[in-house]
Amino acid sequence: MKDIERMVVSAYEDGEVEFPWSDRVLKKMEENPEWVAEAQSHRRIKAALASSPEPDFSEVRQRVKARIEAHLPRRRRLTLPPVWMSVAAAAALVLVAGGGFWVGRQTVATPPSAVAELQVQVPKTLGLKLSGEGQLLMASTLQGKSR
Amino acid sequence: MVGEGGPPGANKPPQGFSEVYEAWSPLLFRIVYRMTGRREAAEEIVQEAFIKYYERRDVLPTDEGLKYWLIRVARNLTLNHEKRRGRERRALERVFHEPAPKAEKGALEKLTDSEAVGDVQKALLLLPENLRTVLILKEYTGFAYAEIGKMLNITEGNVKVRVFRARARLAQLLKEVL
Repeated sequence: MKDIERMVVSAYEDGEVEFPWSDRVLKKMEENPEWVAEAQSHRRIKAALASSPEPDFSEVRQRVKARIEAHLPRRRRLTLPPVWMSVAAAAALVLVAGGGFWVGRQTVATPPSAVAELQVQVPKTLGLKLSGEGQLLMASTLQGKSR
Repeated sequence: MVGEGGPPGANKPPQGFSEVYEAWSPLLFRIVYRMTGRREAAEEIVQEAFIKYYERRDVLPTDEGLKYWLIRVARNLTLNHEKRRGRERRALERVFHEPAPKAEKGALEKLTDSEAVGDVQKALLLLPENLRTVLILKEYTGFAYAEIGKMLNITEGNVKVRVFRARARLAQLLKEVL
């Protein structure tokens, strides 16, 4: 029996083979005893796993729950700042934000004259291409001299 | 077996720490116990998983996604726990210059533990982790292949292959017993 066929039987035993393929598997089992033996082997493993004893965790579960509930709320409270500290922090934030807004408004109101003075015009008559910073500076110098 | 770990309401997802704990802790205890074969490890790991849940519960999903998240966290914590345990054992072996004795008997006999575990559980622990996890999720929680795939970030086809390989390996290990 090929591994792929054995895998199909394994999936069939888990109820993971859908119709119409499940019918095909059933038919194969009727015709081929090897398929039946494979299915029985999987069933044996499943039964062995199901019958394997497991400790009773009900007491441990309650103990763990009580431990978590007793510990965590305290930890959460400790991380929260007192009310007066929150109010002070909020007031400081309002002051800083307000100051920043005021400074920002003052800056925007100032005309950007300094920026306008730095603009460079390249005279076409000099035949310089706008390909580099050095050339632009040179053009600026030439223009200054010509004036 | 599956019903024990189900949520309290039929359609309503569990809300709040207590309800979530009651709904999913039996499932987590079972999974971790099957992964480690040790009761104390299950207690420690499940506790840690729920502490993580408690700390992040405001940002976690409240539907089925939460169950998958809890299982993923428990699995990662289990792997870390087992790695740490292995390191400690190796360190002790180095200190005392006594390597772990090689068993002369069958593979199942190699596993020695203070806790009495059955042959099937011992055989389960001999499986590689990637096969063991998938088989445990299939056999002890009843999840469908698609759900297991979602939990472990693998394809449904991969789950199918791993379940088959795990069963085949387990059958070999249990040949004498079954």
